[in-house]
Amino acid sequence: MKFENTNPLMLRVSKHLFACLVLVATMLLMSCGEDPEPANEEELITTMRVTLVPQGGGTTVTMEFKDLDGVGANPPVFTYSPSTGGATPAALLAANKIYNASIVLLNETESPAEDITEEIEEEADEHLFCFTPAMSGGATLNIQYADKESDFITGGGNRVVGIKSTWSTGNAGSGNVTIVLRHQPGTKTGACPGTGETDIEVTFALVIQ
Amino acid sequence: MKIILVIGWIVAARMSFGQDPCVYTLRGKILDAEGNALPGATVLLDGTGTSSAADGQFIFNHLCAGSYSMEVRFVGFDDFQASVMIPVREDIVIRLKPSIMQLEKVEVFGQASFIAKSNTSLSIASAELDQLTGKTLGESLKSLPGISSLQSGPAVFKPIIQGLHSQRILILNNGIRQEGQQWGVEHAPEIDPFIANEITVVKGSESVRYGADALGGVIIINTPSIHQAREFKGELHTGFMTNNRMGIVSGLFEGGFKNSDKWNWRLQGTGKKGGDFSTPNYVLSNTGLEELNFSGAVGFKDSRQGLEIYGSSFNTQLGILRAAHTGNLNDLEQSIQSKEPWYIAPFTYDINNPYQQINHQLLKVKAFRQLPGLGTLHILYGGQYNQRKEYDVRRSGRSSRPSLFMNLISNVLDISIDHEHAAHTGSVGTNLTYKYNFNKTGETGRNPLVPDYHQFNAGLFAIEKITRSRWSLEAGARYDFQYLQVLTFDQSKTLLKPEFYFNYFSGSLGASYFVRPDVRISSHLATSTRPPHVSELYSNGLHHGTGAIEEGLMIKESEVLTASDHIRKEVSTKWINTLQLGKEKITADFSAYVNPISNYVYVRPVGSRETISGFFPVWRYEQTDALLAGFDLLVNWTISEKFSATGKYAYLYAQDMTRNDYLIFIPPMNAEAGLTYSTSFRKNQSLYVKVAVPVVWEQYRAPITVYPSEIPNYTGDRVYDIAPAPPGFVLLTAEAGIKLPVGEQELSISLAGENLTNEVYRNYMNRLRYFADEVGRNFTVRLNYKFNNHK
Repeated sequence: MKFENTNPLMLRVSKHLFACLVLVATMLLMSCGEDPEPANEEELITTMRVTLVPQGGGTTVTMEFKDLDGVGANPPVFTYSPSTGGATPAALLAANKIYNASIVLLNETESPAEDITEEIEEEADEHLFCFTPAMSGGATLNIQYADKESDFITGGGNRVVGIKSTWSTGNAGSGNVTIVLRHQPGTKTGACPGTGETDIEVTFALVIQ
Repeated sequence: MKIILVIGWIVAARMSFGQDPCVYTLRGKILDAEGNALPGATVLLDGTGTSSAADGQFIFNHLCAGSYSMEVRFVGFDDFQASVMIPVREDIVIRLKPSIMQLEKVEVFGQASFIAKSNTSLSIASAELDQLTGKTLGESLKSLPGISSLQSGPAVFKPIIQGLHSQRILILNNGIRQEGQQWGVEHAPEIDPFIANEITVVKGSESVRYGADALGGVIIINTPSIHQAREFKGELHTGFMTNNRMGIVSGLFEGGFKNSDKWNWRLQGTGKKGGDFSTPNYVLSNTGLEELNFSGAVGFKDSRQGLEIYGSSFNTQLGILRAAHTGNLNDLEQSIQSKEPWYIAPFTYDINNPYQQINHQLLKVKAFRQLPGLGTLHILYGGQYNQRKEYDVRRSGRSSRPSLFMNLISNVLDISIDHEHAAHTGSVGTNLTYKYNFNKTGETGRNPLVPDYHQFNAGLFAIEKITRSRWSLEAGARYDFQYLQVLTFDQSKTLLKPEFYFNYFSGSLGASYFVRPDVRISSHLATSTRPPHVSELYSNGLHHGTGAIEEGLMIKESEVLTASDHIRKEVSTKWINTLQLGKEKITADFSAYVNPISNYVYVRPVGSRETISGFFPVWRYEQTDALLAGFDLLVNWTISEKFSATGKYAYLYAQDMTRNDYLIFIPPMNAEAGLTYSTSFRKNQSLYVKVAVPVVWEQYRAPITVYPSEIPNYTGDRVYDIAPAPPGFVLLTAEAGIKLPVGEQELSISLAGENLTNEVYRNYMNRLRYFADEVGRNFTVRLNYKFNNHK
């Protein structure tokens, strides 16, 4: 378009068009981006480790779930010590024993690994571990909470959390235990499963002998 | 004479045809050369006058058969004179030429519009839009047969045209293609319906004119053209809904400038605030919403050229039903099995996590210039910035940080030359689009679901139409080029930058024919090609909005593919046939269509995956050959001067041809019957009462059901849904309104009731059906005031 017209109105139009073209150019330039950085998935929990220390001495048992790629296609890895071994390993617990259990959560994609348990402790009033043992062959496993919110937060309540618990084994046999971490901001009662979302759900195999 | 007269068909035109002497109606529309409505034009018929409404429409009732002289006058345009033989068998469209134009002969011919009228389109006019005050765009469109919506809760409506949605339909927002985050099923169009004075839906494919994203149809949001008069005028809309105690205020003001009669301005704004919706039995906790939108325009127009600068801002915050936010499959199973949502709290206006926050900014510059001998040159630029943040329930204070933060910057440049010569009309043009999408992962601390990308599109098209007295023919062709660069990461977090080049064609053929003066048949055939969208190619990760792990076509197990030979383009052929009847008492619009789509991209549950949070469903994008076919019907029957009845019906058959299975989320058969009583007692004073019964059948062709807890053990190969399709339902709606002149101004008040019987039901097309019932009874009071200050 040519604007030879000296009519002031026309000049205004051409000025406007010019201003718009500048605007268009700015928009186009704005769009050139840089290469993205990979996301730092700080919330990721890759690992849950349950450590069972027998009261009155004996072998400490550990059960570990590790999934380094999160929702990625690689399957998680279960590690038990001591383990029954074989294709479907399980943790070996002694019969008629009381274990002091503690749960550790880690993000092992960071180096050093980040302790996520601290986040749960800070928000003990919003979180609850639920334990569901399923034993067969006459075996029994009884799990009791051994902590409350006030252990982790000052002025906390008496509702249980489950980071620490007591596991009492009975007769020998095999089965599994499902540990669920519920996130219940504002709706926690201390009873399982309650409302809210599941942050963690892992099932460990175990053999009592 | 210095004018061109275009007599056109407006779909569902009411034609006058009969033997009685003085019962005829003449309807029409006044447009400028570009097709913009001209409100306030003086229309005289044998000296009796009226003026065109905001959408350019005018009407003369009780005309006798015979010849009338017609005159149209409007400032800045040449007077138009013609003689009209009543009855006229169709609505007329008068295009006024700007005053200083060179002398041209009067041309009278059958059809003209940018949108091919051999295609099937339906409109919601401004009066009906007033009755929809407060509804979202998607919800408003549901009043048209064949248009449905995919819902995610009571406030998120995604329009579906004859079974297709998202990437396959295009929304033209004030002439600019809407570039939002349309890929997500829970992403509604980022448009304030208050900007529109008319919404038109084209059901046939318009990919020739607009490119691949119009393969399933186009939704056209028409804003009123900036009016040419200098006086200050405006509209004020207010509404209140009882169900979620939502208040709505919207205003529009326009005027001219003191020292110029060629510049005009307009300002518009809308505010909305609503709390939790309720079903008949409980509150849908955390479904509140907030919206604040505004737009402004300045326009210049003289004889040969025009310029319009338009800017709009759409901002909303939408609560997501708290109970719909689930973790793993066991959570989902519990939510589905429980009769009520697991979280019900007293009504509140507060919006808590999870929620979405969406901002969409648009800047449009439009210019036209008459090129003697060539036609009209149109240049349209649109810059858009779309920002979508989704907030989740997170640990350690991260709830205040978005889990998904996507930014889409797009630039659109459309250039076309439109010509109108006697019986030929046509358009040649190009569309250039550049899009850049980026995630702010630094703020989210999460892997993005859809990666960053750059996309450049160039399309070239030509459309030509020939019109004769009884028939018209139209053909079009288009070539597209697309460059796509995706910026994604493989498993070891190494940046991958695959590049793709796509070349593809679209074509269309259309014809329409008047069997009788009051019966028209049209047929439109279009073939379109669409390369898959980035979300369909590279989605990878947990989609918190759907609680599923989604993997695109280019994700194979843990590998990220980059070679372009893995990509197959989607090819759609849509054939739509329409029969329109325009008798005096009965008007009807029946359309039937067949739409085979090869390499149809869809998402399919393929299993589950164990993570530390338990098992999650895995949905993979796949391609198949699909067939969609169906028909829509709309009938209006004028029973007497005061009573009229409306009937609507839509049926859609959809099948996965390759896998011989059903497709998921296909709208079930639905119908609506309505009865309206209207009367006018004095000039411009009228009253109406409307009762309607919408009926929705059960979707019998729904995929099989595999409940979440059964998913880890499901070994079959069929598409499944996690809950059965709910039974059909019948609702009752009623509305009454009155229009009163207040001096020179116009005031209308209405009261509408929806789900009057307080029916407890669930809707197959609402993703919230897994968790909760639909919204219960709702009353809406609306007050619209239109004023016009003569200075």
